Amino acid sequence: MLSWMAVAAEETGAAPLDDFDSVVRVYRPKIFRYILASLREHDTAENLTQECFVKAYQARERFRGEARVSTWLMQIAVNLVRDHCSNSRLKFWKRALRTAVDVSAAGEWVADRNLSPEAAAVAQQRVTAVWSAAEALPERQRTVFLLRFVEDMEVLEIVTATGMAEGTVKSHLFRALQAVRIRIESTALKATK
Amino acid sequence: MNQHLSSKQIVEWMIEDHSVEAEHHVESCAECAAQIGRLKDSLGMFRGAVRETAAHFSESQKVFAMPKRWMAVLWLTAAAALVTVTAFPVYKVQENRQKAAEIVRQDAELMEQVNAGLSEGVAAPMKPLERLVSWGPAAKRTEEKRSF
Repeated sequence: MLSWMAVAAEETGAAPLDDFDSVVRVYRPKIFRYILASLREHDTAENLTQECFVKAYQARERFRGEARVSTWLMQIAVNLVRDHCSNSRLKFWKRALRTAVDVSAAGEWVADRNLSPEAAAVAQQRVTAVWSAAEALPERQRTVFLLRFVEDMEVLEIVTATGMAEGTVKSHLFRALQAVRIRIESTALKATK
Repeated sequence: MNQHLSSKQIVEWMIEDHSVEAEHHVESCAECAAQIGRLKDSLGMFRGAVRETAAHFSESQKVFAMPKRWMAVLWLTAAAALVTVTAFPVYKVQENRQKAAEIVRQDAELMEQVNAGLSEGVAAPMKPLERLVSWGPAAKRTEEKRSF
């Protein structure tokens, strides 16, 4: 059985990850980002990220090196997000929480800062549109969409991380992207009116 | 393929599930290429925004984590103070007990001295005179030596 820390070291090309802290340091941003984008609630994202690594540590003996460490961790994160979303008891609290990420504020973080004010406003609108559309997607479509377009994961990696069939992943990806595109187009149309 | 790409075909293009005909069309059609480009740009900006948002919150967590260390120091100080407050009365009780035991010991010693003094045949101030009188054992021995 391959040591998952050895696999992680190979993936990152860094020095051998001989302790769990290094694994957390390397993969935490990716896991946190995915959970935050899925739930848009940073306290919950923080807690679930912690839980993800606790679960990974507890299950480390079961890692067989068949997938990348990042995919394996993402699999745990996907399950945590799914469980969180399906937990109806949390729905009330989810609404009541005040630490939600503001979509319009998130739209202000547009990578290219050298845009003209007009172009920046358009870019911000588009980002907000994508984020709002992603939020409105059914949970599985959102998962697939985020893994593909935020985490740059290949379809086969998404298959491993989500446990869905390849055809199902492609189908969810198609529907998600179509919904996002419609939202972008309608936002652009409203802006021109 | 002369017609522009449909919405479905554009989405298929984005998920890399497109036909060869669609590929040829995009190569020659500026309008469809621009549509694909806009969608790509939007998704790219979204990815950038998500990454920056996540990085921002990660940084906030780090900043927030600093006081946690100070909280640990505060907790340690509080625990030390609690131990001191709890241990001090115990120490005082112990000290009082030791003092009481010392007084009892000193009293006992004094009483022993008093008893020893009382049990003496001659009072301490009269001791020097004892040697000069004949009824003391030391005087008897002196008498015997003289007679020889």
